[in-house]
Amino acid sequence: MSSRGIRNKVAVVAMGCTSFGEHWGRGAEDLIVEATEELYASNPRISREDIDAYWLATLGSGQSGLTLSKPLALDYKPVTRVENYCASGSEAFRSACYAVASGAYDRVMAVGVEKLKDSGYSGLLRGDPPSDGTAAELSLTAPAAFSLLDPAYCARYGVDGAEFRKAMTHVAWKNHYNGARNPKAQFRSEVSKEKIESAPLVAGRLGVFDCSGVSDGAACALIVRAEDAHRYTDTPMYVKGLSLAAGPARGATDPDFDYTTFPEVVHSSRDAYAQAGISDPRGQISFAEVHDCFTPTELVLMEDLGFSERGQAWKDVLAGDYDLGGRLPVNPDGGLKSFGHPVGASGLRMLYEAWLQFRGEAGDRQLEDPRLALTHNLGGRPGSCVSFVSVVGRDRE
Amino acid sequence: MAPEPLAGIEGSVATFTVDRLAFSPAPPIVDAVVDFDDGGRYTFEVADADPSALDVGTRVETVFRRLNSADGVHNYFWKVRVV
Repeated sequence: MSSRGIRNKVAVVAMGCTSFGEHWGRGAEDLIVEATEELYASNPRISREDIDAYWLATLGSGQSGLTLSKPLALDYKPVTRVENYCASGSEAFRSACYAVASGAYDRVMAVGVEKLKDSGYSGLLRGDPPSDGTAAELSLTAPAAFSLLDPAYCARYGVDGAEFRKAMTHVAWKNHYNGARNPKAQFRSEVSKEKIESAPLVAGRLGVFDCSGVSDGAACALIVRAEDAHRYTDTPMYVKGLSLAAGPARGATDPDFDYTTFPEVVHSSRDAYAQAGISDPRGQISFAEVHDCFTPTELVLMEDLGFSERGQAWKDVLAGDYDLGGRLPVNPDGGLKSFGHPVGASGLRMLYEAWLQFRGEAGDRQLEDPRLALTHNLGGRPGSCVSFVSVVGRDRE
Repeated sequence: MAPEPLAGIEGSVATFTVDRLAFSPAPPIVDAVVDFDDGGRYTFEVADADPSALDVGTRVETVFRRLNSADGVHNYFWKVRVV
């Protein structure tokens, strides 16, 4: 996989993010307006008329560019709606960055939104074509599909099931600890390890607290050329690397896939690191926002992203390496565990935490002197997924 | 194309789970990723399942069972059971 990348060619100069939660009184249009209003309110140097083009991410809360142009009352601006499973928000950001880097536009906004709580269904509602239920990879619900990682990982690396359970618990405990310090999170309270481990089971050994929540939310980012960034803000966030990998989706029928890794994440992270000039991710990345849809997912991601050695992530997690005060904080904002997962918004919500951390606006979660951040957004399931990785930085060089 | 019997083909469990969110005529749904001895993999519902008897490496064989029924139409497909 090779790509030239657009290192230091574009920068984020403003962002907005709604609180995530059960917004029964607001629709997708309201959430879009709220997120973009926060963006404008946070930066008086930017006005609505300045935006040249928009990319909108939503899995199912609307179709076409009209989903954005109508609530924002845009007059004949280009709006592209994108969907790439749960990585949709990152895909809107990636597309917006390329639009600026190409020179086609000066100022582009990426917006992500999802309204899940009005669907009458308690999980992610998917619009799959009708089927007879016999397809190997679609016959499991999402928690069941990700729970397959647990026995496979324990068997592959000879890890005692009770130890791996402790590591999964630590991931949930850590992300709720962080989310308790985030006023925009859906769940803002710490959860004890005893409560996590005694929760009702959902799939395999995954209990309620091993699964991300279901919420509504929206987030947005304004992207400009890096050389123009200081016209809009004294503290821009520079894009160092953007990578997307869509896998061959044959894990459910390919015995070579062992359910202990996401090859798509390995490919996309290596590509993003090469673009960003990162040779030692574990040493160079200050913190990471990753796709903790389920607790074993975050464990495996630590290895796929190159933060932990193979077979060692569970030990590193238990040692506190990825805690808020650890050597490489992961999901300092609370992650999907605390925010829920309004699909189209999540990738931009991750970038919003990087934005706050670089500007020193992360409150009780503030990390000391962060310079480089990684965001990782996964769509699909083990053996059949798309993976997005970004590297963003506080400094242009 | 020659007919190929698929009943009683043996393989090993690569990984497995109990899906407590999904419906089955024989709850709870136990699903297993099965690697066949002669090559190939598929993900199956486990018939007559006792989840505590399953592990990575457990030996299973294919059986033809009812997957679901809707409006009086019964849909049969392959499942596996522990050998």
